[in-house]
Amino acid sequence: MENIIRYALSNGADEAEIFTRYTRVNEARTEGDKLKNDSKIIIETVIRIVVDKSITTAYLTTDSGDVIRDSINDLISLAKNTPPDPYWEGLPYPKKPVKHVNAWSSDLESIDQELLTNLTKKDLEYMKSKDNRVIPVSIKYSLYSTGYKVVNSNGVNIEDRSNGLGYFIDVKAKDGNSESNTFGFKRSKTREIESEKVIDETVNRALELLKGVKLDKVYKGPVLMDPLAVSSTLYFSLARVITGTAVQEGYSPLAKRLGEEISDKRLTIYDDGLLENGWNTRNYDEEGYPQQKTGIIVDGKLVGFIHNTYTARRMGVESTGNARRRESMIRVDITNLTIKPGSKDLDRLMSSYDELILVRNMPMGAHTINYMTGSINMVGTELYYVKKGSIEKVLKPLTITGNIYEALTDIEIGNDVEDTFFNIYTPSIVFTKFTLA
Amino acid sequence: MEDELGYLIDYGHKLIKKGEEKGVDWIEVRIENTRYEYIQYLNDRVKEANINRYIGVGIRVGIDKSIGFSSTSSHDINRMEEALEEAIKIARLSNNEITLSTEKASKKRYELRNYRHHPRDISFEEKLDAIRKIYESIFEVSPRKDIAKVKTPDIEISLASVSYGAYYGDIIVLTNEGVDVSSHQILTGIRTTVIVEEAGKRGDGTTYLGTSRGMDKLLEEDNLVKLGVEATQHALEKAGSSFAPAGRQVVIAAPGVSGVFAHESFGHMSEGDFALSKSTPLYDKIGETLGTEYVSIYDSGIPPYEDSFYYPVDSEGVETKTVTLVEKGVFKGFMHSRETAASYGVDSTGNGRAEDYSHPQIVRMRNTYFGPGDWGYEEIIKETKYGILVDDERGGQANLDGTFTFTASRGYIIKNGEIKEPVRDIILTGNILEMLKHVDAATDKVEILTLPFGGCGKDGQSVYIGLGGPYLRIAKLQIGGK
Repeated sequence: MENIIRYALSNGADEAEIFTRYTRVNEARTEGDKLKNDSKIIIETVIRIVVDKSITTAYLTTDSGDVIRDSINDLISLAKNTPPDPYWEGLPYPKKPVKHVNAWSSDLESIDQELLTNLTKKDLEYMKSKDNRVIPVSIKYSLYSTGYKVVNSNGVNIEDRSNGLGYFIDVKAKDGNSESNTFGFKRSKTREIESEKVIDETVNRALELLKGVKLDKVYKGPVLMDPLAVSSTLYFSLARVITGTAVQEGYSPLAKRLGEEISDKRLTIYDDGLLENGWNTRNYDEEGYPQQKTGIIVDGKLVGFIHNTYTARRMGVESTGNARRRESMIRVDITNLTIKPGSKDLDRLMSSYDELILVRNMPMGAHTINYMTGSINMVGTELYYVKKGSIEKVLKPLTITGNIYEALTDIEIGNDVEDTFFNIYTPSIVFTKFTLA
Repeated sequence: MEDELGYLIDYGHKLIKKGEEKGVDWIEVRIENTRYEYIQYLNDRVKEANINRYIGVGIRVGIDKSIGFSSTSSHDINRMEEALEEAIKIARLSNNEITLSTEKASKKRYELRNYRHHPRDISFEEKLDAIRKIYESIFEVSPRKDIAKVKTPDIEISLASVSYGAYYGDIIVLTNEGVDVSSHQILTGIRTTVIVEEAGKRGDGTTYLGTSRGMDKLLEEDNLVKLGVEATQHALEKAGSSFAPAGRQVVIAAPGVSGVFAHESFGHMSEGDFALSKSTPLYDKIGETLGTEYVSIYDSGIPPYEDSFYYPVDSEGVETKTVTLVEKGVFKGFMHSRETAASYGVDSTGNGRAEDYSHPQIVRMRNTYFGPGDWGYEEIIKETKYGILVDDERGGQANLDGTFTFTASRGYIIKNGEIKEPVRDIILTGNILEMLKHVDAATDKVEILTLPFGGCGKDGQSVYIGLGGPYLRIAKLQIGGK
């Protein structure tokens, strides 16, 4: 790779960067009763070339030296015809990691396609044995291993690797004319995925949802969201507006509020790229800058944003190690967003209110939240009416409306922190400013 | 590029021979050599100038009614052979009792040629000039009669973005049954986004242009100016508008919104794999009346409408057929890949698609749309006493039981047959099977929207699609909001 950097510089590039990633994915899954297996090897090379502050990038699914050199020539020519970016301040310089973390689990090295296949078969039989109203839609194990390397003309030369095991089930239940559909998931850095526990819990929810009744009133009161409901709501709102890009490009409502109190004082949020066993914990981000722990909201006050090198230098601060790549794009994204837990467990939270509605799982349409304004209009599909701490009835789906940024000003936070597949580690939270109808 | 393609095809044939020598009953080699260009002009500068290149091979083998799939990126021969070994190993492990329908072994090259300008023949400078024309029109053309320019003390454009994307290249499918097809895929498009702040209120506007007909439309000045001007107009209109009144309303869905109903809600319910697993309530409903006479829904690889997504052959090498899902309210059947077709004892409809070489084929849509009715647009507005016209779909979510929640960015109240004040961020919720019973009018023109940005997701795979329809009037539909 160092040779390729030299090649780019000697052919007219002012700066050059090569990112390579090798990923292996093994999957075993069911579609109904049918077992489907596949594996893939993905080779990715991303080249970033700068000529006179004009930046161009290429993404290639090959590590062939010939193709890479051809692309470099294309990019240099393209950069010479591209107007300069006035905000460009250069590629990152080398920096030592804050502390050494190990994102590689040797425990997962012993898992192969055969084991995944056998686990899937076993889980299918287990799910079918639970209740004859249950229809297994899908069970999926996915094992990934990836290693990446970043080299640039400023001397960055790093490599890192990670692996992980994901598990996902999709369950339908049918009883007469009543039907329900829900899903469960788990991911782990060890072989202990506890799949039967996930199946038990998901099947029970699917069966409970068959009993849903209509709530014949507009409800304006405490709404307790479980970790997955909280994380899906925050992922499509707050997580999108705390990036340097959102602040600089004009779509973050928080752009001018640094240092101000923007939420309930009980809310503290960090982006923690070094979180122990965090899914996105790494030594370096994807442009080779050390990951770290960055305060976003501390005791209700907005204290920072997350950055890659470009957005950080444009704002006159240091990168926070949040550069992430998606093909040729270099974005700013959360690593592991952590919400500081409160003191109450779920039962104590529920019994703290005379009545509340518990929202579980990801509401439908969470991804349509208008993150620029905070306007929410989504449908809760797993709802429970709770009276004096006890679940009184399961509810049919209701529309949840409100504004997430206003809602964060009055909350109570539980202590049941969970990993969610949105890379947000959060406990359940009670909101008081939503309307359900 | 042509040389590399020839090399890949030659090696694809060699892989088929190698597979047979290793004892497979059936083998399919799918080769991809495609590109994606992306330019984003954001807030007065080129933010992205990217060229992506996808080269890789997906190999599917059948051994004793068991199928295995493996893939590798790159065009390295050793890696391709490793992928073949892996696919064989997986097939032997899976024991999954999968058979595929028998299809006519086609030998053909598919390429749409009814355009003058291919993106690979247009220079970067010309593309940038087109983008700049749009960008300038966001600011410099009067978006409203009462202001000369957008840059007034009261109005701030906080974001202006023009994105250009072009996907093109070749997909080759070879099998030991004699399938030998290649298709040249092409999809180009532009997306313009504007956010304005006026008197403390924010509004956003987005316009699109997408086509499989090369760059011709993307280079026409009138089209470019319109994309910029309308994005600003929509943003200003939204900044000054309020939310739609909540409750059950008469709704007139513009073509993009009716397309979302056709694709996201009804389309996914009509996919053969969901029928097989009985995940869709339609699995036993063929022949039943589900909607009014104004409800006809189709899925086609080459629909007879301009600016649809050209998809003549699927990822299994099967020529695409137009599938009639619903005809005058009656449910007619499902979309199939070779696998689901075999289970149903029918022919594949050419709906076996994969995102790229690294994914196995599953049942996916192509262009999904409501068919035309016999109303004129003016007539449908005039004949509506009170309702909401909704436009500019912004996605949403649909479940396989038919429930949905979709968002339309813009809308207008209709009173006594006239379009009145604008409304914003309209949330449409309901169940498609209920909604189809209340469609009481459809206009006589169908429009299809397709774009090279994002796509439709299923099982971790995203594919380009088209969606559309006529203006559809729904007599009763739940509107969320404030």
